Amino acid sequence: MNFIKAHLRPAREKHPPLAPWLAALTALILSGCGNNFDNFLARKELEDPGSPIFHKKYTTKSLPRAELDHLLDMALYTGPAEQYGDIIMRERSVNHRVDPVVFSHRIHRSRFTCRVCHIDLEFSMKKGGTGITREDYLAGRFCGACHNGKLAFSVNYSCNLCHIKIDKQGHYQAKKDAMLGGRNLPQQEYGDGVNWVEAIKNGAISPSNSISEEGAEQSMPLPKHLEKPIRWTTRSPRTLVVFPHESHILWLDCANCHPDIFTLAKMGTVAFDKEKNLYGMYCGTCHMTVAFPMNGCNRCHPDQKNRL
Amino acid sequence: MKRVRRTSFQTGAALGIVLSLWITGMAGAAVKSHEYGNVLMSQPQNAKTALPVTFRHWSHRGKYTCRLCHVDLEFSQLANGTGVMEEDNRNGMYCGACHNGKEAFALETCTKCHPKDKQHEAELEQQAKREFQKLKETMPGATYGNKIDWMKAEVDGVITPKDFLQGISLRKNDMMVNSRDEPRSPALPGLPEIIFSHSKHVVWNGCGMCHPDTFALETGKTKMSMREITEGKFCGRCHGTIAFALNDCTRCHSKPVASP
Repeated sequence: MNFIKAHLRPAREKHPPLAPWLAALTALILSGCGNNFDNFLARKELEDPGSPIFHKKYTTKSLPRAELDHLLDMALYTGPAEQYGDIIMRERSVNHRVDPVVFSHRIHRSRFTCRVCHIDLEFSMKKGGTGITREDYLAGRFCGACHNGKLAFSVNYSCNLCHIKIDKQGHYQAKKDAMLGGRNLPQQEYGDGVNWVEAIKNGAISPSNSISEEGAEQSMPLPKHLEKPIRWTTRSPRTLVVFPHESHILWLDCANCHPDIFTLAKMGTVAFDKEKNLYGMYCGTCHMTVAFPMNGCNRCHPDQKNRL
Repeated sequence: MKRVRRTSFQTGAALGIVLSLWITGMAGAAVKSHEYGNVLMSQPQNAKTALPVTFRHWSHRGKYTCRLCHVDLEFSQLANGTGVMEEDNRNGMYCGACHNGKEAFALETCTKCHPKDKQHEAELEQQAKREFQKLKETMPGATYGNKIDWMKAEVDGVITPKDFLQGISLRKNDMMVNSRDEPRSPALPGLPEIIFSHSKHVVWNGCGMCHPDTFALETGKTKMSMREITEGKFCGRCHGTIAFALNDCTRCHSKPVASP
């Protein structure tokens, strides 16, 4: 795919008349691609037969490839790894003339799964959506549920561990220490630099599923047909989406995604497409902000290369 | 050519942003525990002059059973489906049946429910949130919805919801009450079996809340799917809006799958 991109991009910038050799070359590349994909799929199927591929019907019009490229360039994460997943909460702080809070997902997710905060502690998935007040966290809600001096440092002291100076350009000192696992964490080249799913699977971290001592209630087991990754076709005919439920329930409850973000019906989220994902809907709810960013194309589209 | 591309790109961007705002607005609405089960009651004829009343189920359901309001007082199960008028309340119907100064605070304290303006609405909301947190601390906890296990609270005697209102309710005939557990098999293999408990529902609902309007009287005659339930039909009429949330899968899918 990078090969096609390399040939298309200069063409878009210079606007030359469409030369017949270019058309021929494109046709050649596309046919080559098809073979690669089919070969790839055949090889994969032999190794490990996957679940059936759904032929998804899309309700919206496809974005032209060049435009999608442009959009990807704008939307994908290119910042420093130690700041990926940081949420800057300034709305209430600034009103009270206190430095904004910098919340680092990296530090927290090595200790607790997503569901602890986003279900049990009622943190919204949308920045500013929770409406945390000082009254709340002093009474042991939201941040105060753990930051009580027992589980973690208390909200009554060490204010400057969370309320951090941010200059007008938005620069601040990212938190680097205090992360469990440290150097044992499996690396990746995009996002926050850590492959968190791999980290749980190889035992580098074992984030807790609840803050109570008795642990979280047993969640429902996956139905049989969801044990293997589900697969469906994208709108461009030569790629595939692979979604593993199994690595998501390491972190999440069914309720984090269903039925609010994704319906329960088979292939029922009909308006789903790449563009909306990049704007932060559907998978983009987490995979553009906290979970690995969409730079890791290969994680979901197994025949594609990552975009670094 | 470049211009065309840019415009369609911008339209796409705008559409995306609008859609994402809409979706997050929808998803965010159900999350907060003190807002779970809230119903906004407005009347189309005076929507311009009066702000809607927020009815909070959590402040009522510890004191009264569901059927007292939804059967005896004829409250609809659809938001704004009742058409409550001030005159009705003054004649002792709907809210006025209890809010008469004896059973609960009188109708004359209008601003306990009707917000004067936007700022007052926010104050009422803040006050309700504090009252809710206070109530929650006294109740057994749950993971979803209000984060209160109402069923357990009733069984443990933390709450004793009233089922009878003098002058309005009629005595129930206990002979009709069915307290069987109904096992059901889910459509998808691998999911735990469903156990529907009549006895847990009867405490709150009697018979008439569900039969025969929502569920047929004959066992197994009502065909339903989880998808329809998430759309607010069948069990979804209460579960997902007021009764324990649909997220709480294992409350119904409760019998473990036999290992092969």
